[in-house]
Amino acid sequence: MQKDEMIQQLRGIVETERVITDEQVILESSKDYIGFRRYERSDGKFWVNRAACVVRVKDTQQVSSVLKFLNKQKIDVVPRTGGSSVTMGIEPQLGGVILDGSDMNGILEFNERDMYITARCGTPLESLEKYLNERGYTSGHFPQSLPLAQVGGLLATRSIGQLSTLYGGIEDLVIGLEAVLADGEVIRIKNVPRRSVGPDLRHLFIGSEGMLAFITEATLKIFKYAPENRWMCAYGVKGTQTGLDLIRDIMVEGYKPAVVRLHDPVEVERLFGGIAPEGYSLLLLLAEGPKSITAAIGEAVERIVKKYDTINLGPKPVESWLITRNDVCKEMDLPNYYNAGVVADTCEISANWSQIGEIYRAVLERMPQELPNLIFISGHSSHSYMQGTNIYFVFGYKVVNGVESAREDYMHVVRVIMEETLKRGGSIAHHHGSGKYRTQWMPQEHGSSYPLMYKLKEALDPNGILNKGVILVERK
Amino acid sequence: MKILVCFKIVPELDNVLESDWAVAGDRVDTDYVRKVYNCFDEAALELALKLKDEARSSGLEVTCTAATIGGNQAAMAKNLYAVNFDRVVVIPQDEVDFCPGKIAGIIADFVVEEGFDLVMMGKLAGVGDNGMTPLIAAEKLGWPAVTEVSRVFPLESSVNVLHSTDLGEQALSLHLPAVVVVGNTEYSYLRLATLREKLKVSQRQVEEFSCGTRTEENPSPVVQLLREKSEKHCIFLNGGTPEEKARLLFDRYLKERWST
Repeated sequence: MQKDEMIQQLRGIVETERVITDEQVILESSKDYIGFRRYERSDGKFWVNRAACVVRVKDTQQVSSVLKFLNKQKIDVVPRTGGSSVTMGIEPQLGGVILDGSDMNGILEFNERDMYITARCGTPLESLEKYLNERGYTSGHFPQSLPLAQVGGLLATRSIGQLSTLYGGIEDLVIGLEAVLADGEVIRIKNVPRRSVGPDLRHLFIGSEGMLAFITEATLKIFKYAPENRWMCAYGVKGTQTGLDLIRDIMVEGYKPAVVRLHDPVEVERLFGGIAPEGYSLLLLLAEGPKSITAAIGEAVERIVKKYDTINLGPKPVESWLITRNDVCKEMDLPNYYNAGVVADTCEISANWSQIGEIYRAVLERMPQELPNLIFISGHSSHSYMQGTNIYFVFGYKVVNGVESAREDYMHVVRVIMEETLKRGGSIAHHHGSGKYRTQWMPQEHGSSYPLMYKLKEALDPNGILNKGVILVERK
Repeated sequence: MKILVCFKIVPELDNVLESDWAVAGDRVDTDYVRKVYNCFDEAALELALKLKDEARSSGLEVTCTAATIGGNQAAMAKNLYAVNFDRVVVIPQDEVDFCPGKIAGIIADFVVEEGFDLVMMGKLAGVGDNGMTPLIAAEKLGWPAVTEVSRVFPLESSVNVLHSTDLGEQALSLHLPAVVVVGNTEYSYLRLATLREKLKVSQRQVEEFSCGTRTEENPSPVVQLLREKSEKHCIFLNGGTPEEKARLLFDRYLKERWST
């Protein structure tokens, strides 16, 4: 089908003004915050496929009708809401359609008795949280993208928040949802605390990155909000492995502070300059919940911490981090790194306790050997579990061979992290998702379970119109 | 040409908790916040390196020394070796935040002892932000000082500088020795070193300069710090037309100020 005809037909399905062909809007809607794209854009290069149009749908019925049409015509479509992707996850196909759910904004039900809230996919997480806080509740979900993120994207990317050690990831918070399949069929999964009626179908959509359905609505758990009960403390810990061992101790003993972050000595110098001695990592801890529980956690942590070579830095570093933790969102479109000729970004992986320290060491050792233009490589653990934790690698390199080389060097950095993680049985993506840049490593990530992904795709999106390029390596 | 760049490592005040600002006394607790190069000093450090690069390409010999007074930031200061400073010096000293005379004295002593030709420093630095240190240092040395400098270009035994004045940007040819006070520059960030460059200098230690007993005491000790109140109010002007609103704005809020 020709582009003009497609646009004309789409304008017959939704209101004319909801089908936007303006190039600036298309580019803005295709924007991804992966490090090398930010650098390219600062250099005036928009090296991304041009979609034919953006369709800003207003309700589930429109999502269904538009998808039904696109499926029939076999036209590629990329779902999006907040647009905070850092994985090329929402970059469109050439001539395809960007299906934008950010106008589907609003809270549908706030249920204090059953402790949940239902919101449409375009509801900004920040406004949802504010709405809850004003009523004495919290969503317990605080990704760094909080000022940008919207509900649909949180589910689609299998998002996680900074207080996840207590509240869990989005997969632990979703009670029910509504999604639209590629052929326009609307699926609803009801809101119950738990059930035993076959495989949990919520997980078909949570983390599907828009390749199996368009998520239109979600029901999330809510929690009592009592920040006045918080216990907070920061510690300097000699070395990174000691810090990881300390976190493991806290987790294995059965304590669940909401925030458990360990920044390595490189980050202590670079991001927290001077607050702990050279060679020390920085442990930030915050417990949330009823006063008796936070006090007990604080007491237990203090006892555990004394077994290690630590320095008590008091609560202020944690308080200060709480206030400034999402400031990066304000600078996402500023050319600060570009002006210094630098690409900087993060890459997160996870592994069990027995391997995580090894992965960290291997990456930090290998990276400077392979990239002469590397400026910094560091890591922090920010989401811990009984069995292991994640490492959020933070890196920066000088662009030495022009803007065209920014992507090649970027993928070199990522390759080192992916290889060292896979070698030791870890997972190559803790919470950013596959996007379109980690897809090549998905066969090794999933192993023998990977063919099942194709079967799911075949069953739910047989024409393959939904977000081509994420998770699944294209079969020849 | 021997260049000295004076720099200060300061707390990032944006990260100080509201509750700490509220405390009145002679000190605001900034121990827990990130430390960064003072922005004007950072620009001076980068300008000096650019000057060195340009001098070298013209076959001129230039050495750059970076020096800081007080603080316990040797680890951070050490990184300056990696971006090509020849020497990095720390001058230990307590209580430096509100003592421009004392600091200028130490700088002057160091400059005389080491025989520098050109001293570069940022125009002011937190927490004191008094903007007096460079000028007092120049006075103590008996050297000329140029303020609000944004670029420095090397010549054989002098430098050309660009600096801003009330009337616009001015180019000056400056005979050495002299003090260059750096203001706003087009690009104010210090270049970044690669990890390999950092590893190459990782064994080098920061030098220490002892200012001994020559340092004068601060004649004006800090008694108390008070936070300046900066409350803002939003008022909507009710008027039927832009002209009516402009009239209201003038009558109620501007007329009196303009007349005074």
